Amino acid sequence: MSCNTLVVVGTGIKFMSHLTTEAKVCIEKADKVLYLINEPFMQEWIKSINPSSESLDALYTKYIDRDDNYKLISEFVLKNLESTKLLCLAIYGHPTYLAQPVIYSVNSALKKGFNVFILPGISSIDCLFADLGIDPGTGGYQSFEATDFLIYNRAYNSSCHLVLWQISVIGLKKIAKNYNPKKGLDILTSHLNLKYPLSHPVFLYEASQYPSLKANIKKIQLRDLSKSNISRITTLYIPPKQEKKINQKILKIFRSLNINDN
Amino acid sequence: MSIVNFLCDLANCVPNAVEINNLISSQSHHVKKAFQENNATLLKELISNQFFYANETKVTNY
Repeated sequence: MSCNTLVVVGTGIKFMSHLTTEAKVCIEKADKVLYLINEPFMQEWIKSINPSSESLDALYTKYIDRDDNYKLISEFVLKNLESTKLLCLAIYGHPTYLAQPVIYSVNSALKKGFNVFILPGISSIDCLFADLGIDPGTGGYQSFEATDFLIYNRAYNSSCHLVLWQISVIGLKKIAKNYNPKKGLDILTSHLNLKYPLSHPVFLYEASQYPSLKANIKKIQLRDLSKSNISRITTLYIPPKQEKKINQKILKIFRSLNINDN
Repeated sequence: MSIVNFLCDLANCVPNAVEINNLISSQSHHVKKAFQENNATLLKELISNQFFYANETKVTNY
């Protein structure tokens, strides 16, 4: 039983274009595929390529509390893994990025002695860097889930690139229909205004999900955030506010060590 | 040709390739409209009325 294998794959953001060769092979050859995909065409493709595939959508929305659903999915994955030689869990985007059901499933599988492999996928942050021409290595990059960012008062540096996820559901722990994001966005704006002026440019970003379609990128001022049209896949990117400041003390040490000759 | 096959063909094109226009032109009015308007939502609606935006119950993973 314990030689059964769980392979978790990310299917990327853009339909088919982002599917890696190793992910495709696993989906095709698995004895069973469980998938949690928020895009109907990829669902159709998985069903066509591997008839054993089964959607986890119903479990994702079974209970009101999202965390309960994540645990339910993990239990379901484990149950299937016990009777499946090669089980593939296919997730939209990158399989461990904001994907708590995967983390729960992987940890449970490892605890029970199953083989586990996680294959990376292209996430929306990869798309964002490409579409906005950002090098996260220059200036540094920080990202937070928006509710987590606010509740834990996460420390951040306004001279870094800042990315905030899930801004449409700020403060929402439970599943809710027709949630109005305005209140949460107002709170977020006030919080960001502690470090950025209201005139600071910010970007509302949605990666392209289909080949030949363009990403949706809207540049606005911070003050207009809560008035903007936000969808469930909108990500907020905030460019650095100020130039990097050199730590002269460290630089002096580096120079003395000839690490940096400039 | 199904929309899924059409999108697979598109995925095999390099950006701005001439055949992209030909592929899109061969599609139905609604598909063409979705691409002209850069409207992913419309494209999804063509295959399913139950994708996750519609019931607003699901938060995407990244």
